[in-house]
Amino acid sequence: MLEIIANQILFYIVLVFVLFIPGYSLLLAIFGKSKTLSALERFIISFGLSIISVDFINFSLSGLHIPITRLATLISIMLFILICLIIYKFRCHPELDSGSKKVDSGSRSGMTDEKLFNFSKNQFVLILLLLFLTIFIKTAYLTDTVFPTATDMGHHMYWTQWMIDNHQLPTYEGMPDFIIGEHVIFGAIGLASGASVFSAFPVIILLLINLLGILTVFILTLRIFKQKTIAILTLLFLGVLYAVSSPQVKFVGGGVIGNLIGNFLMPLSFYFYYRAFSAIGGSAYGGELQEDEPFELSNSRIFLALAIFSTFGLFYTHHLTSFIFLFIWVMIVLILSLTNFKNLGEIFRKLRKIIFSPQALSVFFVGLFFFFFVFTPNYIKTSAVNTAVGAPSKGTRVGLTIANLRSSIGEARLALGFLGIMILAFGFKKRNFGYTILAAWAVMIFIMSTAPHLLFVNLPSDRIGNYLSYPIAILSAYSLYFVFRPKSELEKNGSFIPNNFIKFGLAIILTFVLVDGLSDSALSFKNKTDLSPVAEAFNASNYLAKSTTTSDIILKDHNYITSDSWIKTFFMRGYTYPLSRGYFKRYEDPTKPREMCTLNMISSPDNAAGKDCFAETRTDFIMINPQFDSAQFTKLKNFNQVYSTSGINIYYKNN
Amino acid sequence: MPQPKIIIIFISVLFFASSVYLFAIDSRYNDPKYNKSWYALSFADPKSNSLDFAIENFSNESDFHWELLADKIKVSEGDVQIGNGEKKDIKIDTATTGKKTTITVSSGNIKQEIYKNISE
Repeated sequence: MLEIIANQILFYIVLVFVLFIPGYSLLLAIFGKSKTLSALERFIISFGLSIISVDFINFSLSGLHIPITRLATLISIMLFILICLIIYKFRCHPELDSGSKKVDSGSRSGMTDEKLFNFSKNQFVLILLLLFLTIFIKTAYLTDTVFPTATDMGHHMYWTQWMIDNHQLPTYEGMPDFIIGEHVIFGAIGLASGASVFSAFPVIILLLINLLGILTVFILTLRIFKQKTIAILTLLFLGVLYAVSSPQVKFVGGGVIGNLIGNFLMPLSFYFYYRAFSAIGGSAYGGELQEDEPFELSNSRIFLALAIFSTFGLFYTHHLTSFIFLFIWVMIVLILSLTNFKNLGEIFRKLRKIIFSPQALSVFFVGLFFFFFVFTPNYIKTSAVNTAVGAPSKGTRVGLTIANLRSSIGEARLALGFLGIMILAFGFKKRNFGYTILAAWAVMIFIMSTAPHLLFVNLPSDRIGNYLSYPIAILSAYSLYFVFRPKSELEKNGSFIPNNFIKFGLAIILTFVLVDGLSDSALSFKNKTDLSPVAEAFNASNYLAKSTTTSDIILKDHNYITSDSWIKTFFMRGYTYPLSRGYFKRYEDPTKPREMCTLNMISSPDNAAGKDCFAETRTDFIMINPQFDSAQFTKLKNFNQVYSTSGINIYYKNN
Repeated sequence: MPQPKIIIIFISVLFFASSVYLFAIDSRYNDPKYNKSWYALSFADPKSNSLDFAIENFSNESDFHWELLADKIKVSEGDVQIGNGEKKDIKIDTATTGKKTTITVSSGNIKQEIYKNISE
C-alpha cells in the first residue's frame, strides 16, 4: 500500500516537473513577473511550452548521442529549468514590466489585462461549475475506458515502451504514421516516474492535454472578443456539451494522441500569433490605422517567437494537424489581404517590423536547424506529403455531407456555429486579427472536410471534420451571445425586440442546446464493462512471451481479440511482431493491394495458399478467439492446442 | 485571493481527484470482481512432447478436475484445489506417442481442453 502511495506521489511530482515547470521557467525567463500574461494564461501556456521544451531537450540528447536514461532525462530538464531561472534572475525586464499595466493592444474598450480576467461573482461561479462538469463528465466516461484496450493507444504505448527500454528516440522502423512528439512526453514521464504504460498514466496525461486544449480556447476567445460571456459560453460548448464525442474524451480513452496534442498546440499557436499580430490593427481595431497608436513591438516580437516555437512543436507532433494548420494559414493570409486590401502596405510595414526581429528569426532558424539536422520527423523523410495531396482516392476521402457534420459536431452546435460565422462575416472587424484567425480556422476546415477535391486534399474527411468542433464552439458561443446579449447592449445598438421575447427565445435555444449537447454524455454512465477479455488476452500474451524466443513467429487476430494492439508490448520484438490478421475489409481494398498471408494462415490454414504462407513466413504460433476460429485448427494434426481460455486459444504448428 | 489563482487551484484539485480515481480503477481488469469467471489452461512447454500443464485460476471456483485422454480414452485423472489468482503446475509422467493426447479440465460450468498430436 505504501509503495502504491509513494509511486503516486512520485508520478505527480514528475508530472509537474516534466509538464509544467519547464514552460513556467521559460515564461519567467522571457516575461519575468510582468503582467503581460495573466496568472491563468501563464498556467495554461506553461504546459504547452513544457511539452515542446521537453521535445527539444530530448532531440538535443539524441543529437549529442547521450542515452536517454532516467538520470539523463532528469538532469537535462533540470538544466533547462536552471538556465531559464538564471536568465530570469540576471535579466532586467524593464520594457515588458513597464508595459504590464498598459492598455492591452487590441482592446477596443480599453480593458486592461487585469480587468479582462476579473469576473463578476456570477461569471466566476459559472466558470467553476462548467469546469467541474467538464472534468466530471470526462472522468465518468473514462471509468470504463481507462483500461489498456484502445487500438491506437496500444500502438503508441509500444513506442513509448521502446523509448524507455532502448534509451533513445524511436525511428519507427521507417513508418511515417508515427511522429516523435506523440511519444516524447510519455517516454519522459514513464522514464522518470517508472509508471507502467499499462497503467492509467497515458490516459491521465491525455485527459490533462484535452482539458488544457479547452482552456487555451477559453483564453484565446477572451483575448479576441474581450467579452467574458463569450469565453464562458465557449467553455460550455467545448467543455461540457459534446464532452464525450470525438475529438473530446473519446479520443482520450482511445489514445488518439497526435490529434489531442494537436488540438492543444494549434489553438496555443493561434493565441501566440494573435498576440503577436494584434498590433497590426492598432488599438482601435474597427477604426483606421493611426501613426501614433501605441505599438507593443517588443511584446509582439516575443509572442511571434513563442508562436514559431509552438508551430515547430506542432510540426514535431502531428502531421495531420500541421497540414490543416498550413491550410488555415493560407486562408488567414487570403482573408487578411481581402479585408484589408487598401491598407496592405501599412500592415506589411508593421508585420515586417515584427517578423524580421532577432527574437522571431532566431527561434525560426534554431527550429529549422533542429527540424532538418538534429531530428527530422519521419513524415518529412517519406512520401507522406505526396499521399496527403491529390485527388481523393477512397470513398472516405470525398468529403462529409452536412448530415455527417451534424452527427460529428452536434446539431445544435453546428446550427449556432453557422449562425456565428454569418454574424462574424456581417460585422467583420477587419483590424481584429482574431476575427481573421477564427474565420479562417472555421472556413478552411469546413472546406477541407466537405469539399476536399477543391483543395486537392486526399485525407480521410471525417478525421479533418473532427477539428471543426473547436472553431465552431467559439462561433456558437459568439452567435448565442450576439443574439441574446444583455438588454443594455441591445438598446445601445438600436434593438427594438422586447426583453421578454429575448428571454423566452434564450430559454428555448438553451434547452435545445443542452439536451442535444448532453445526450452524448449519457454514454459516460454506461453499465460496468466485462474486463475478462482484456485479462485473457494479456494472460495469453504473457504465456507466449515466456514460452517463445525471437526465432518463433506468432500470428494473432485483430478482428476478434480484445486489446490485441497491446500484445506487441509484451514481446518488444518489433512493431510488426507478432503478425496480425487485420480487418477483413482491408484485404479487399482495391486502392491498396495487401499481403494475404495473415488472412490465409488463420482463415484457411490447410489450403495451398495457407500452407505456402506458413512455409514462407515460418509462423509457428497462432493466437485466435475460439468462438470464431478454432474449428479449422482442431481438425489438423500438425497443430497442437497449447493454451486455452474461453476467449483465447493458442496453437503451435508442430511440423 | 485573485480569481485566476482560485480557478487554477480549482482545476488542479479536480484534475488531481480525477486522476487518483482513475489510477485506483486502472487495474480492475486484473480484479476478479470485474471479470467473468475464467481460468487458463496451458502446457508448461508448448514445443516439446511434455504433457506437464498449468492451471491459472481467475474464478471464484477452487475445485478443478482434470483428465488425460489418449485418442479419447482416459489414461489418468486428478483433482486439484486452486485459489483465486493462483497458478498450479501439474506434472504428467504418462507417455503417449502417435496419438492425440488431450488434457481436459472442468471447474464449475467451465470446461477447457488442450492437446498435443505427439508423433512416434
